[in-house]
Amino acid sequence: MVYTPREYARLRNTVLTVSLMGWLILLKPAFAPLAYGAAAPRVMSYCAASPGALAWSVPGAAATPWLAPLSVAQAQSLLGGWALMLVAMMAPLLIQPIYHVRATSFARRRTRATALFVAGYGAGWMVAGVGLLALELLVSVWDAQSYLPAALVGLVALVWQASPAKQRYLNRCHRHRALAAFGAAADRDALLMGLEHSRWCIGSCWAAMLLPMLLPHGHVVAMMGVSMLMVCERLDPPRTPAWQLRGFGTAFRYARLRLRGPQPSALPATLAARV
Amino acid sequence: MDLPQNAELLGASAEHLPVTGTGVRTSVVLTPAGQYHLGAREAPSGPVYLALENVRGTRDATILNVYLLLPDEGGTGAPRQLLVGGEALYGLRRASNLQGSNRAGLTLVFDITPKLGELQGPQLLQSKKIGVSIVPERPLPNAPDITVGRVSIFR
Repeated sequence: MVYTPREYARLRNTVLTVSLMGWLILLKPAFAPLAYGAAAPRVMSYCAASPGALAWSVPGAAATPWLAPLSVAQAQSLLGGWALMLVAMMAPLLIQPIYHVRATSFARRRTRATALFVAGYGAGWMVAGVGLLALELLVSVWDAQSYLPAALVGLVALVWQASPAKQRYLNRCHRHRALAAFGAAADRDALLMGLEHSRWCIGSCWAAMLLPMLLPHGHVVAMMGVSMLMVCERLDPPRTPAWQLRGFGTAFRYARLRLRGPQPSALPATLAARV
Repeated sequence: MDLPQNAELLGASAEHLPVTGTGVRTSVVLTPAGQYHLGAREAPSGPVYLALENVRGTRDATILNVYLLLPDEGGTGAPRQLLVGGEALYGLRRASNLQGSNRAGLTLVFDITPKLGELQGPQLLQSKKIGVSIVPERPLPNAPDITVGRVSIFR
């Protein structure tokens, strides 16, 4: 793969724009119908579309909430919200693999290969989302306003974050398969790479993703924090699996770097101009 | 190495290549754009690279020499080999390790622009394929300890 900074920057900006649009829709209720269609709740926010809110809005759910089935519209709304959350949080994690897909595909196949990769990746996460949303629904039925489930999951997420298993999944996220260049084999490889990548990504991020979902309040702020942590832990190179609290140091340094703004070059002016 | 501002894949091999014995040969199938670019009468307008992608294995102490296979002009039947370069596979085992810090193998990139410049375009390419030969410095066992994921040509 030949690395070209300009192409990489172009792709990064596009993906970050898509992610930003996802965040704006999450934050701005007026954009909700774009993502939720007719099933958009009247007062839209991620909180309003959460399984807890929907479960309690079903007639008769107050008495036996676990027996009240979700309507198709509500299920669509949930999955739409989940997809939107994926776009906002996961898109920045896909810059490197999408670049790999594009750089190792013929120019005329790039869009198709990218679409197949994203479809595979999204499909994997949507399947995982069904499980995570079901878990959220169960917890919200038990006690929607309790911070206890979130605290327990936060503890699990912290242990998982430091575990060697997490590093193994992260290492796999850095690994990109060789893609066939021609015909159906190229399509299959792009799709498989998306599915593979989603598998490692789910293994790496499931606990962190579950935490904001279980919070009674402050989903979006928690989602932003988790998203930044996930982006920063991907900036670290692959490492030998070991017990180590990862991602936080990089996130702290990244935030400090951004807050400090551009620094003057330490090189002499003439040399800096050449660089 | 100066890298292009807009990299484009011009051709690629179709299958994984196990490197065994005295070497392996493959064909890089070119796109029409690649054929036009490499088959031009004058030298290519920008740099052109040949890449061995996702080289994996356990034999770090191996040097691979890479040749372009050109159509024979003398009538002997055997293709003429043009040496592109050689690369030692330092770090191959580590880069191939599935359990630890892995990067799906090594990627070796050779700048073939000067070699193409030495050739007349039509001499190099009348067909849609370029033959590439990968020859280890010393013969390898027949067990496939080294594999190349794909051979490709970029500009």
